[in-house]
Parts: sequence; C-alpha cells; structure tokens
Amino acid sequence: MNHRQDGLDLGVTSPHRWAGDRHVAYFARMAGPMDKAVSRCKSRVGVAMVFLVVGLLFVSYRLVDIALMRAGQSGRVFQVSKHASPALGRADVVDRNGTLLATNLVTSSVFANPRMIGEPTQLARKLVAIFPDLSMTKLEKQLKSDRTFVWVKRNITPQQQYEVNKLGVPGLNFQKEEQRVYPQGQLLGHVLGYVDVDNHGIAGIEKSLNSTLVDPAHYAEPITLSIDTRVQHTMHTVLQEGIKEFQAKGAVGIVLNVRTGEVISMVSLPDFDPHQPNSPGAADARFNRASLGVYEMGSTFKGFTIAMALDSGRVKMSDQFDATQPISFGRFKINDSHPEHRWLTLPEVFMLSSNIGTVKIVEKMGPKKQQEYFRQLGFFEPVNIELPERGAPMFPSQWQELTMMTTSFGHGIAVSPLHVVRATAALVNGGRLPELTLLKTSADAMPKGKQVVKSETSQAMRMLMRQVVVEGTGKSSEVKGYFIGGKTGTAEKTTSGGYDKKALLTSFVASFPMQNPQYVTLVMFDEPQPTKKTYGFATAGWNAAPMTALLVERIAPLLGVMPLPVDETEIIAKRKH
Amino acid sequence: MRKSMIFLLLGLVVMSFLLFRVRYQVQELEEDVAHVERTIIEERESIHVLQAEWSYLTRPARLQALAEKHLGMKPATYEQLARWEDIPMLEAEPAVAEVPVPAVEPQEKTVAVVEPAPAPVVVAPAKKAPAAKPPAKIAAAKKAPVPVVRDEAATVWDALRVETSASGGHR
Repeated sequence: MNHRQDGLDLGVTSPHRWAGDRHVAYFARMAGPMDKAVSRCKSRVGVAMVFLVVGLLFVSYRLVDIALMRAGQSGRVFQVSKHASPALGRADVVDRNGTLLATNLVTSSVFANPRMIGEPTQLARKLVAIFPDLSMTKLEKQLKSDRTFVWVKRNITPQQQYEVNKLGVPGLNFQKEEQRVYPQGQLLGHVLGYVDVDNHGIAGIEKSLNSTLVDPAHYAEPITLSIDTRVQHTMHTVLQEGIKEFQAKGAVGIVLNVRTGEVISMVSLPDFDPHQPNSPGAADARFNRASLGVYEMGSTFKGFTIAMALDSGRVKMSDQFDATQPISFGRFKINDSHPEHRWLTLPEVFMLSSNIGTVKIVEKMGPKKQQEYFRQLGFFEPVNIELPERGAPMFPSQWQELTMMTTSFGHGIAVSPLHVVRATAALVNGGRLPELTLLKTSADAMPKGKQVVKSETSQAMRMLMRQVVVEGTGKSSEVKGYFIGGKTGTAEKTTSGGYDKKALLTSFVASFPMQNPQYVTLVMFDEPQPTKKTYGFATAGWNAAPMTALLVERIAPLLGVMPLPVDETEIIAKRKH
Repeated sequence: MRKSMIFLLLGLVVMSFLLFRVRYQVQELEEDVAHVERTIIEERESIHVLQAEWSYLTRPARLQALAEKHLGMKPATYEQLARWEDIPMLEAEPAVAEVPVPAVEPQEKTVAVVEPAPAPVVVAPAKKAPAAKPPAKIAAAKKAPVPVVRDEAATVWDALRVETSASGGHR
C-alpha cells in the first residue's frame, strides 16, 4: 500500500485498492498532531450524543409515565358535592313523607353606594317605581347620605332584578343572599316558625333546632318532621269548617301517635303567613294555642280522675255514686249540666259526664294521691317538645279539698292541649306516658315511656271511652268502622270574678280504633256559638265531637288505619252526609 | 455516525412534540371537566328551585281545590274502602255435569238441549273455620250464618256481613 508519509491525507486515495482495510487505514492515519484535535472533537460529539440520548430517554420515560402510569389517579379534579342540593347556609326541613316544608333559595339583594350616585332623587323615584313598598323620602335621604353602603331592598324577585339592572346605574349593585322559603305556606306556620332577615330562627322549629340547621355537617340532609302534611291539611280544613259553622274565635287540632309520641298534626287557628310574620294583626295568629296556651280544659279531665281512681284500687267499675243532689262546699256549688237526680254507676258517671259523680269518686282518692297522679301524668310541667313555645301549667300552690274537687273535672287547673293529648295517650296505650316529639322517629328508637297507670286500667279506660261514643255525650263523633272512643269537654272560660257561661271552650279528645288505639286526636273550639242545627246548644257534643267524626273519617286511610267491618245494627249511626 | 445522530435528534424532537401535545390535551380536558362541574352545580341549583316549586304546586289545599273543580272528587267514605282480605275470592268452579256427546249426529227435531246446572257463586261461610271470638267491645253477633247470594246483596258489605261475623275477622 502506498500512502503518503505526511499523514494529512485522511481519506483513501482509491476505494478499490483500500477496500479491505479501509478502516484500519483510517485509524492508522490518526497518529499525528491533527489527530488529537480530531479525536477531541469526536469525543465532544460523543458527549453531546450521550446527552441527547439521555434527553430522549427521559422524554420517552415521561411520556410513558403520563400515558400509562397515571391512568388511575384523578389529579386535580375538583370535588363536586355528592349531595343533591347545593350547599346552602341552612338545612331543609321536610315532613315525614319527604314533602319539602322549608328551604333556602338564592335571591339577590340590591344595595347602593350613595357616593357614586349622581342624581339621588331621580334614582329614588325610579326605584320606588320598581319597589312600591319602599318609602320615597327615606330612600332619598339614604341615597343623599355620605355612606358607602346602603341596602335598597333585600331578597328581590328575578323580574325586579332585571328591571334594576336595566336602569344601568353604576352605583347600584347586587349581592347574592339566601332567603328562607316555606312552600306549604300557612299550613305549618306554628310548627316551623319563621326566621328573621338574616336567616336566624326566631320561632318554632326554626328556633329550637337552629344550631342543627346551620351545622355544616347537616347541610345536605334535611330534618325530617313527624308531621304529615296531608293530615295537617285535613285538620286545618275541618277546623276551618267548624269555625265557620260555629262562629268560633279560634280552634286547636292535634293528632298524636300513641306508641311513638310523634305529633302527626298540630294546628292552631287563626294562623299566619310565615313569610310575613309581622303583618298587622298577626300577633294573635302567631300565638300557638296548641302548645303555648294553657286553658282549663274541663270534663276531659274526668277521664284522668276515673283512671287514677281505678288504678289506685279505691273504686271499682261496679261502684255506684250518689248524684241526686249538687255538692255544696262553702259558698261553692257543684252541679251537673244535665242533672240525673239518681245514683250513677261508674261508667254512667263517665258517659254522662257528671260533675257530682266525679267529685264523689275523687273524694275516695284524697288530694295527695290525686296530686301524685297529676304529677305522673305530667300536668305540673311544660310538655317536652321541640318548640320554644311551651306553656307552663297553672295550678294552685295550696292543694286543698276544694282544689281536689274542681280539678277532678278540669277546673282550677290550666294546662295546654298537648298535656291533655299526651295524658290521654297514656290512658289508651297500655299505661305508658309517651315522650312527645316533632321529629320523625320509629317505634324502636323512642325510649319507652314511664308507666303511669296499669295496663288493666288502660283497658278499662278504653272501654269507658268507647261507651261515651256509643251511648254517652260523644255520640255524634261516631264513624262507621273506626270504633272511636273519647271524652267531651265543655269548659266555661274564666272572666274577672268567675266563669262566663256564654264563653265556652269545647273539646273532644278521641282515640281510634279502640280495640288497639293507634292515634289520639284533640279538637278544640274557642267560644263556639249555638246554631239552629245544634238546637241552641254549644257544648262539645254539638261541635267538637261531630268535627272529630269528619276528621277521623278523612285521616284514618291516610294514616293506614283501615275501617273494620261492622255489624250495622249495633252502631247508633247519626252521621249526616 | 451522522445518520444515527440525526436519527436520534429527530426522535427527540418527535418525542418532545408528542409529550407537549399530551400535556396540552390533558389541560384542555381538565378545563372541560371544570366546565362540566360548574354546569352540574348550576343544574343542581335549578333542581333545588324546582323542588321548592313542586312542593308549592302540590300543596294539599291546591290539589284538593283542583280535584274538586275539575274531577268532581270528594273525600272517600267508609263504603269506598275495603281491605284485601275482605275481597271474596272465587271458589273453585263447582263440578259441572258433563254433557254427554251424542252418539248419533243430532237430527233437527231431536236436539237435546242439556243445560249445565246453574252455579250461583255463594258466599259460603261454612267453609271458613269458626275463628277467634269477637272482642269484648263489639256485641257478639249470635245469629246463624245465612248464605247470601252475591247477586242479591245490595253492597259488598252486605255480602260480607255474614262471613265476617262468622269469622269475627279483623286484624
């Protein structure tokens, strides 16, 4: 091979001749000063190559990583609340069937920055055109003031929002607020209560459960009440009919589940719109007569007297009592409204609602024992229920013989209708005083009530109450198939210095079906008037009892109580259709 | 050497291109997700408002007024309610006398008309076992059970009266 000796010739002179050992010749030619530079250059290229390869490997690793490895992770997905309704500042309230009773809706509120308003008078005029209930002078004064923030109107409708927006005034602005809305309107005004403008509860359930309603942990779960809206509506309708027919000033209706103590319905008339609790004349309507008002309930107490007398063993069903003459005690005379002038058996005393007979019965008990039973039945304390409006009973501090006599037939002691319903439930459900609640509870979750009378006494009371409806003062409450039992109560309201014969408080406490009572109802009218149809009578048997019949016939299917087949000949059916 | 370098460089460029493409795709998807989630929230708010409106429109007072006005409905009464157990179930068909097939083809004149014995559906209390005695509250119905032919019963309750008094049935 002839290669040049100077080493500069880097290539091959002729491919043909050097083909075999071309590479050898190539590298053989490196031995020289230029070869060092070349090798340095080549090594730098090599290093660059290495970097490139590393970079390539890294990129491909990242690619694979992102594409395959991260497939399971969620990355930066933001969590949407799992719950159905958006998280608002106050929990919903629903009834036992899930009907929405109270909820927050997002509304806009208009505010103004008076400093940015150039023509306050003109703007005030335009705003009053949109919101007629705003006062022109007051608004003008506010807009002319030097403040930076002034409410114009809170919780406006979308239509009003559109109109305000259309004005195009830069000084006006909107802020999102939540407003409490009650879709069922007036129907549950007393039970639910209402909130103030900042959504703090100030009455009813809204107040008593306020902390639960605003608790963030409970936002999304509604609070379920024991109230059944359909039963509430039926009660409301029946009471309204009664008020119209008997010209009464007010009415109370309660339906209670005897086993669980759940209040299925609580109506107090007159009622009010919870969206406008401060409208004129609403003060009387806001008063919850069912829970806060305390009244002398009258003859409904005779059931408690007889129950305690039987329970203590001091009397028997077969005993007889002298009701021939009224009872005189000092300057007081106790008489029957329909004197029988004969001896009465215990069932007759109850069925005919004899005051004299009841006093004779309670005399066998004595005041101390009677007081003890009243305490057991819960008549000396407010009823424990989830409402802030709970009436404390009124009774004399000195329990003397006269007190014993009068309280035996329901005068001289004032309790709320809830007290009477609860104690009656104890009489019919086997003797346990239930704990009342407005929240939906199942039978097993409720604590077992205290046993206040024996179960035999309860059985006896059920029979006696049934007899009141079959043969006694409660005949007009009979409804075929439901075997209602109950007790009428006609009490004279107290006026200054005595009782007013013309102002009555009539009530009928009932339970059905009497073989196995499920519910207790109370219907009470405030000052019902005698009518032509009632032949001039205004006692409970003429107004409260027939209204109860109407009520039970309508609510029993709703409550799942089916009518039982009856033998028609045995029921004295005096119902008019 | 050069070729492989070019090759590697090209590969690097392609890979980077792919990587950033994936990255931007992911970003776009995340934006889509955020958008969808915002829409979900808006829809849920709408649903909430609609639920409030639903509750308002299904107020019992309103429904009652509408039902009375347009459907002429009234509250149900005792006569319109019944329990499943009280509905009399059909008895097994009583045996019908077999119609003999004529051996000879029937002539016009000698057509034998054989009618099956009429089988009225009878409420048969005898089949029911005399069950639990009626409770103390109701006066026990002591009369003997009388089979009532259903066709002649004025209402369902009349037809059942016998059956239930015999069985004393109630829950």
